[in-house]
Amino acid sequence: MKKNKLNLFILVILLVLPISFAACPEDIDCPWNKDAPEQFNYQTGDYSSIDWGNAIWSKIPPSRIPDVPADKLNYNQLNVDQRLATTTEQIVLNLEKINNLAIDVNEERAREAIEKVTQIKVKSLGQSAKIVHGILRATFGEEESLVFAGKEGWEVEIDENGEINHLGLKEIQESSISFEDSFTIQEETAYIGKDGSVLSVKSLSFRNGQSYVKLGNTARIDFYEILAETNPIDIHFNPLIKPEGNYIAISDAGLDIRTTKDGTVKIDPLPGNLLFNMVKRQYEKDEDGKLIKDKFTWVPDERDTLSITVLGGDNLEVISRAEAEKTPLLRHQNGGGKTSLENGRMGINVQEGKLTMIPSKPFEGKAGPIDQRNSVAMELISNNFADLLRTSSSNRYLLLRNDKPIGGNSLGLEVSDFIESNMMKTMDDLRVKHPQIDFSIGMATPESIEEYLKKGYGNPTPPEYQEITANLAQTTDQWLKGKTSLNKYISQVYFGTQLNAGGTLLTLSVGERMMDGSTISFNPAIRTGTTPLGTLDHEFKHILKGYIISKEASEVHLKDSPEYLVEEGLLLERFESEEITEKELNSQIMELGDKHLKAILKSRGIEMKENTIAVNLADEIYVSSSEDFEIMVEEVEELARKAQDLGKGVANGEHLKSLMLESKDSPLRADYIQKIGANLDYWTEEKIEGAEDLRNRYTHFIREETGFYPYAFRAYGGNYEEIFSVYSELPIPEAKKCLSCAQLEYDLVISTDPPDWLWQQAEERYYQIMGGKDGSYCSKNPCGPCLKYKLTCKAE
Amino acid sequence: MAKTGQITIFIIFGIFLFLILAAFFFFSFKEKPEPNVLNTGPIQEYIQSCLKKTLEDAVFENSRRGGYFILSEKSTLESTENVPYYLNGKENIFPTDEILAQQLSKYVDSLVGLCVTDFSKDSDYNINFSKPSSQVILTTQKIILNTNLLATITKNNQVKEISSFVTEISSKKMYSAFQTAKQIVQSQKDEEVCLSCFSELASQNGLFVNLLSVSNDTYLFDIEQSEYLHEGEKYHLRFAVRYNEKE
Repeated sequence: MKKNKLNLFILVILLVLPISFAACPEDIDCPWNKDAPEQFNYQTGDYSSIDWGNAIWSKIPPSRIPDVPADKLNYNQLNVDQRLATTTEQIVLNLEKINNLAIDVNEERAREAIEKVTQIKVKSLGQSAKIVHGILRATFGEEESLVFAGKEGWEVEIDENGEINHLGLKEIQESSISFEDSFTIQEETAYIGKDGSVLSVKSLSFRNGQSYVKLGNTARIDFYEILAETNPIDIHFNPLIKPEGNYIAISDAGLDIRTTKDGTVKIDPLPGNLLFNMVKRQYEKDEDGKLIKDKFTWVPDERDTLSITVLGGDNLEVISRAEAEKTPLLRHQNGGGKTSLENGRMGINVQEGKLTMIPSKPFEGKAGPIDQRNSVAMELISNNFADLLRTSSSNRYLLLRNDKPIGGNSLGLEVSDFIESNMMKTMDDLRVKHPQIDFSIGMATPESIEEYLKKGYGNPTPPEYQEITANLAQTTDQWLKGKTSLNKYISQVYFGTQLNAGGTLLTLSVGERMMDGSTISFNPAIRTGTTPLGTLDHEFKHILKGYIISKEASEVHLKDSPEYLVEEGLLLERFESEEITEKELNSQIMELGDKHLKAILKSRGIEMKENTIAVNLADEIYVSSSEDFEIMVEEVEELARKAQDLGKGVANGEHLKSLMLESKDSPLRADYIQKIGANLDYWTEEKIEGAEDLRNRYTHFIREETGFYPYAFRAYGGNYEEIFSVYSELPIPEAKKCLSCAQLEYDLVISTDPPDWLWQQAEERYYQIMGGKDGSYCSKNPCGPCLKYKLTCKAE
Repeated sequence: MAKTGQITIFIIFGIFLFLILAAFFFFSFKEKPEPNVLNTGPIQEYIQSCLKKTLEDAVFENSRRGGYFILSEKSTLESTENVPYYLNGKENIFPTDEILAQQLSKYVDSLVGLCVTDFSKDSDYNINFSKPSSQVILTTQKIILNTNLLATITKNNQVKEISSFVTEISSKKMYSAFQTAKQIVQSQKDEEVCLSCFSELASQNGLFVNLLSVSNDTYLFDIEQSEYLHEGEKYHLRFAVRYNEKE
């Protein structure tokens, strides 16, 4: 019996044992058996019971990987699919085991994991990346890296080149950047230095603890743009020791730019840059809308342009002299390379020991848009040459040696090394400094714009022209300097882009083209020798004349004259009955006033001042030099016949006969002097044989006799408009040839009851011409004001 | 009484001898009246001064036209006061000393007449002038002007002729400006003007070099010498450089 029980027991064991060792059917959740881990249903089993030390990792389906407790996950045991199924938490604990965070695991979760651990948001891991010892590394392309420590809150990406780009965070501390970091700050970010300084940076890269601009990149640091076109460029901030290689060192004192034999550094200071004063004033206004002189902020001046390229071993230092209120000094050192500055409309190069210049080009045409770039004011010296090159903010330069000017393009305009002078840049600057005068963009009359357009010159006030150039501001300011109470004569100044300037009573019009040295220096429309300041002086004389005429009209009670009133009444009637327009009415009233004024003055024995002078001068030629003049006229006649035979005729379609001195008693005989000159110019241009010789001789003769060039005798509608203005431009020895002109000039100025500066100026010039108060002329003849012109001239 | 008669004869003879001797001495030392000769000294001086002044005018006025009285073929066309090109692309057409000298003599020959004819206006001389013919020698120190100008002077039925005149003035200042211009032209490279190439000369000679771009391929140079004055006007040497060649 005992034996059977034993046999039965063995039989049961034998029966049960295989069953107990048989695989757990799939549809049955077999409990975990640490001795039979293969029997566990990894598909559907309860993972909470698993002893993970004994688990058969290969049996875990990828879909169940998330069920594996993160701290139990044995990453190294996982296959490809399983790895891809890992959760963020699992990845967190295995970050440094993952060979390629981009493809070995789910990238999005990998990035989430990184963010959880480091508080750094990674937007992309590129093709492949891993983390080693707390450093995220791209493992392809540029293989850049980012140390996690100290970078909480950052947002980065690994791009298709294996480069790490910083995105998003608006502030970065220099102290958070370590030696192993290699990345680029892509978007505009505040970079806070260890010394607390703050710079705005963009596209600035870092590697081995050094900031730099990558090859092919354009970085922006504060108000600098740095272009690494041929090589990377290191960027140093306030370096304590002199760096090496191709670099830019930015400090409070300025810039230091160095290059190697094969290196190039290009840096463009930008509007807003304070080292180079690329700013303008923006003034506050009071409750009446008036600008407040001392209340302003500095804002970027978008018109200021400068580009600096240093290459091939050259060095350039930019030294701030703001404390001395001076413009920056650029100190060049020759290294066998080249240094170039594109400064406004000028180009400056230093190469092979030479300083070369490409001056600003002239503006084309007579009106329309212009190149409004301003230059940057600075001084340049070099160990290569003894000269100093100074530029203004108005496209002017001055070359100096031993402080003495030896070259330039400014035509008498200031080229200053003081910051303040170069900050005169806008109409507001003029308004604040000269509050008695109104400055604006426009023309004296709307019809002026129409005229320009009709003639095809272009618009003198194009829509894009909303602000004057620094050149125009500074020229106007220089001319106005010291002219107190000028608003007596000028209350309005209009600015435009035209190749012209004009002056009428109380109004001055100035065009940009007329104030640009290059544009006026060789223009067929402009007399040789014209300068910007000379032009303004010339127009001022016209304004003075307008003032004098208005005084005369008042003095003779023009508006009370019965004849005048009758004719004015008739004009008004015609206007009211719409026979004439308002424009025609105004124009005809002006002509009427002019006509009656002349008649009244004539009746009082007061001739048109310029006409008298011009005719007197003409008489001098006709009478006292008649023989020489007649010989020349005979030659002119012969030349005119020759020209006609050649089909050249006379200029402006005039008949040959009218050119000749038909009547020496003609009131316009002085105009013939001009006509002869004009025709000689024309025949010279046409290369008629003998014309140039005669033209030169004739011009010389007229100047010897009168002091004037022939053109000054041009009559406009019976008036010699130019004599008065042109006489004022004659140097003293030439002016001495017409003492009656000097007297008239003096009298006319004094008749306006001028401010002190103008009185002094007129008096000084008068006595220089007359040979002094005690000179030979004045000791024998009356000298002083109001001797020739007496109508409104009151000598004190 | 025969003794008394003999003495009288001797006395008479002695008186007669005395008178003869006195007469002899008187007529020997009396000033002979001058024949009536025409004095051309003042005219000579006047013509000389005219030539000098005209030569000085020539220096100043020709220099405003780059050294030319009659501009060369290759000159600007568009200004109210045109100038010669000293450089046309790669072609250096800087005027030689011979050209400068020739142009000075052309100026003098053309214009001296305006000055010399003034003399007879205020005097009782009647002077006819032939057409002048001048030759100028230009050195680094001097400008020497040799002029053949036949002046036929008539006064009180007397006629005299003078014809040859030599004048000289310093050329140093004018020459220094031309030397500087030469340096500018020689150192021009495409559109770049070498400022440091001429700065030494400009500094040594008190010059100021105005440089203006007057078109897309042409520069105007105006070399000014403020301490070289003539009738109150400063000396200017003006010329153009075209850095892109044109026909």
